Amino acid sequence: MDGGAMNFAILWPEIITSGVGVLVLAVGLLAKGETLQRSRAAAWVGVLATVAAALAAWNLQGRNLTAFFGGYRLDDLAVFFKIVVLLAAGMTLLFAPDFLVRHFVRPSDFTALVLFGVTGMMLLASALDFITLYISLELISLSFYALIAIQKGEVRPAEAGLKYLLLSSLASAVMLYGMSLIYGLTGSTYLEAIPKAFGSGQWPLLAGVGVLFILAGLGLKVYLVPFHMWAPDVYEGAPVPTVAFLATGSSAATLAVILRLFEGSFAAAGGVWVPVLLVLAIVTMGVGNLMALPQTNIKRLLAYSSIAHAGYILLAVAAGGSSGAAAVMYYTLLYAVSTIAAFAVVSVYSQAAGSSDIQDLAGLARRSPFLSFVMLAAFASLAGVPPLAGFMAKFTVFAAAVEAGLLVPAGLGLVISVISIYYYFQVIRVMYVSEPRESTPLTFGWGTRVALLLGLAGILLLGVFPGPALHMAQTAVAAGLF
Amino acid sequence: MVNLAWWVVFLPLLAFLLISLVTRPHRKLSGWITILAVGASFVLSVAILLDMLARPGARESAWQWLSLGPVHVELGVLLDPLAAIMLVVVTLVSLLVQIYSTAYMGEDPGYSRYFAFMGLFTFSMLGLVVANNYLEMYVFWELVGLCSYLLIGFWYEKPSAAAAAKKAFVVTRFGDFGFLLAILLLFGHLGTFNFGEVAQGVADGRLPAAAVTAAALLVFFGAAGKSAQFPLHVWLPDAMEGPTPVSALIHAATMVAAGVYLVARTYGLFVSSAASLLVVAYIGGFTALFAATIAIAQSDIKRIVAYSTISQLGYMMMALGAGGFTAGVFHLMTHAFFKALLFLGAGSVILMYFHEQNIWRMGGLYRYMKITAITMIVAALANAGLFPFAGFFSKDEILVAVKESGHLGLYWIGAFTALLTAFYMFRLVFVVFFGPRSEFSPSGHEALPDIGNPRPAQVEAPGAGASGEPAVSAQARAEADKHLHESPAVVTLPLMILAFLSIVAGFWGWPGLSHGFGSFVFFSGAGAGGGAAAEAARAAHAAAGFDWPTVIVSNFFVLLGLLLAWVLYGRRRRAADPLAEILGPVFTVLEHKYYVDEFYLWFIRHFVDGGAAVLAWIDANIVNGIANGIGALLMGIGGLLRLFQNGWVQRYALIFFIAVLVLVAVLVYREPALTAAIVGGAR
Repeated sequence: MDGGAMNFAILWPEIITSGVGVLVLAVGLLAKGETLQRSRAAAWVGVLATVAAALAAWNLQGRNLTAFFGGYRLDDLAVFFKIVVLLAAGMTLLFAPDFLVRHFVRPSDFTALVLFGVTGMMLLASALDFITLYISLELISLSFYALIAIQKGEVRPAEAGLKYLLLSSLASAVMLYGMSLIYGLTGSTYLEAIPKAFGSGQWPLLAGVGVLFILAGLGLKVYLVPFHMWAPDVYEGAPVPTVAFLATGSSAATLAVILRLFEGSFAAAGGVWVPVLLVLAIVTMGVGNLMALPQTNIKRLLAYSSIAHAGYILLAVAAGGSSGAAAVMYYTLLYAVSTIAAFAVVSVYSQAAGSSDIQDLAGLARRSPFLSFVMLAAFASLAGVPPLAGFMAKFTVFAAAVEAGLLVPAGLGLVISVISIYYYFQVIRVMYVSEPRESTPLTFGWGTRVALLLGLAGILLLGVFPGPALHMAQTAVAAGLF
Repeated sequence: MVNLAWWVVFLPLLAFLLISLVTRPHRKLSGWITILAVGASFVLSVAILLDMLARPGARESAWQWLSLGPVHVELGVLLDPLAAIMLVVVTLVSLLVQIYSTAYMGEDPGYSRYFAFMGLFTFSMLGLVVANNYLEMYVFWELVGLCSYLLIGFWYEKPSAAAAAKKAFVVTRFGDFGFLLAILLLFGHLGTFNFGEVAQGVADGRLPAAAVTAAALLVFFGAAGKSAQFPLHVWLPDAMEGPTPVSALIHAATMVAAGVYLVARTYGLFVSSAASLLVVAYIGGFTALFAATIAIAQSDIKRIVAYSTISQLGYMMMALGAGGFTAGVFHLMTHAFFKALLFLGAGSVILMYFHEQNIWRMGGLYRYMKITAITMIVAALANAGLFPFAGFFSKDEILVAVKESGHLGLYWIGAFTALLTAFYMFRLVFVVFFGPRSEFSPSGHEALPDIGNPRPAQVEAPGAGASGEPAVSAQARAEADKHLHESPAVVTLPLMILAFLSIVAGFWGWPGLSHGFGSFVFFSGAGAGGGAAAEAARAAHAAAGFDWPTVIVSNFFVLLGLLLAWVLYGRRRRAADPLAEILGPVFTVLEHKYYVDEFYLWFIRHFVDGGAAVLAWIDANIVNGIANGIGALLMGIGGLLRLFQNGWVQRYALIFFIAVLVLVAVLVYREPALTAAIVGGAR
């Protein structure tokens, strides 16, 4: 710990994104003659900012530094998750302008909000005390309230925004209550102080209640059933780029803090939360996969798909240990890449069709072979088809569960995951087999093209060469959580 | 140098990606991309071979591809003299085939696709050659299988081509299953995929003898599938449905070579199990004879060469089984040259001769295509194994190895097969290039019915051809002959290069040569009896020079076969096969390839199909019922759960709080002291 010294060097990623965010917002508001089309440039600036921040984060690997009186920590775990959320933000900003301009939203506003959100996510990945944690979480939530309802004058996004606001405030309140319980018992807000305060003995009952409250509050952000109910409605109502960023960035950052809390601070209280999380993880997989079956809207389908994947990830959290934590990290990365690629496709076709019904995907293979190929890769990856990234990710999760002796949950998870093949390939079937309703080729801009290519490359490379990313996750875990 | 090997392997893949993603609409460019990539691979392979000649030895470079607990999987490159030789052979033959293909496939609408597949095929084969572990080899092994499927079925709109592609894929997959089992067996015992480590483990006796034999036989089963050994040989003749250059590539340097290469690469397993060596030797010897007898009664120019390939592969397997590692690999190399030449030469004939493939519709073509004819004769001599052509040296090595191993039965089988080889090769040469033009020769591009081998009795019946077709008038034929000419230079140049190699390549294996092939490629493995003793034996053998009795026997048999072919076909007056009369019903059996295909079909129809029908019934009525039931049930549950998701945010909040309360209740309930207090168990 460095005491109070302000080590700004380790904050470069956050400084870049928040600074560029303010700049983009200011220029967007003040510049004269700002039109929708010209405002597209703001999104490219945002993309550059995420790239620069990611490079800065990459350079900070292996440093393991602490700042702000121990409230902020930059270790490899934080760097990994920062890169994941920056990737999510960057890819979202690449394909967002096409969608936004069509819906009369200025890309500059959107860009600024995404950059603020990603700043919060990066801070969250580094949070080492309850105060920083809570503030970061609120920064994320605040950005998303606006991002969800950014389509002025439209009812559905406004409704979705309100739902998200109400339910996530609720979760925050419960989580804060849990934190205050633990603070009351330990006298410290530092994550690393918690296990020290309780020692090796039995945790008091109230501490257990606090742990569960925090689990519920964070569970809402990562779609843990039964705290997931907001997700399908918000996914359906919100603009596609917002959903893409929400589905990936927000849950990735929350998973970082879940790892720190549950694998670190609350590890000794495993008896309290591991059984609960195991049961909920399996229920989450079940509900996510089952509810995805009858969906006719691609965004709702992807919401339940997110829920199902949260189940797998949380199974790895419950499995714990270094392989469990590494599995969480690798899964988060692959899930982010595959999901954003899928949303980029959804963004293009739903603009053209004016709806996001799965039926409107009919004949996509003939209208745009490239788009449908990316969708095929993304969905096959999410379904866990080898040799794509999703297969390796599921493999690491179930391997970690087996290693932890959780044979029954792992078996159940495997069986449940089979269901997912049905609904993913149902969509693929519609794209490739069904007759198109209209045959005009789909067009999209360069940003979208780059995002799609990035997603495709990620899905293929992470699957065929899982080594580097897995290795990075393993080293990060080995370096310790705080 | 090891790092160069990565480039050798990946350049053709790059060509494949570039063509399929970018240049597909530009035909000429796509062709050039593959040629350039394979050409560069060839140059690098030559550099690697020269380096290997200067400093022989095994060099390995590996990259940890995947590490999951105790399982470590590498993606690596293993370069040794064996791999270096194969790299050059594969890239050279592939390059010549590509150049040839620019003319052969020139009119084809799938030109770009063709060259993309060729790049992928070359990549797969090169990856297989440099693989340093079983699993990596298996991946490329399967890729080779996939590519052959794509290329044999290149004209997929032709039902026969689609069927042949499927047959090749299924039959070889059948063998691949054995290979996979072998890999799992070895990994289960030794915990590694690496070739060197497995060989070391086997040599150290860490594997029970029975497991070694089982693993070796399973590997051989995989190799037999790819290298078309009896009884898995049936796919290869059908594979002639693909474009002829593809046949040349598959049957000379890639797919069929893969099986022999696999046995050579895993030779440590085989030398540790005498039983497996015996199986390899006898299956090989039997296949050599078996295929050669079929070849003498075929009428399709490509099928004759195809059966010849099976026969020669049998020779190689026989050599490996008899302990003649060097001989087998040497024959693999020389065979690559003259077999590619035979196929490309046949392709040149087919290309210019109205796409006709039946030799009995040809005859006297020598005066129209002299280069093709002469190079074909060179290839036929090399294939027959007459001194001093390449095939002589390698076949001589094989026979000597078999003789030294003491299997005299196999020795005579090998020698007699040489007679048959010379006979069927020159049957082809005389019937196609010399003698009078056939009564059934085509006069245009319209497809003619298959006449098989016309019997003398049929032809002598006045006024009617073999299938009852009227004889072509002399005038129409003269008109058609005006269109006959030699193939263009891009076709004849590869032929001449391969002919040159078919003449000179053998001299590298001149017995007693101080830096000959035998002192470069040999088995020095860690197997039983390896090390110093084997080294001494090898040196003694290398210095011994020719085994004169074998030289005399083999050349005598070859000349005898040649003479017989001349007597029967060289002086013929009509397009009819006198052998059919001489051999009678035996000829019919040979013509029908011993009815092996018919037997398989019969077997499948009576046993497999019956079982399949039962399973299909179970599938349709029971499994489907269960599956649909589960599906309906899951859908139903999904629908029920949906009722909760009604969009009311109040309901969501309520569920949230109820869930939190339930969690806390569970926690409290499990707390013994508190439970006691609440439930009233406290005193």
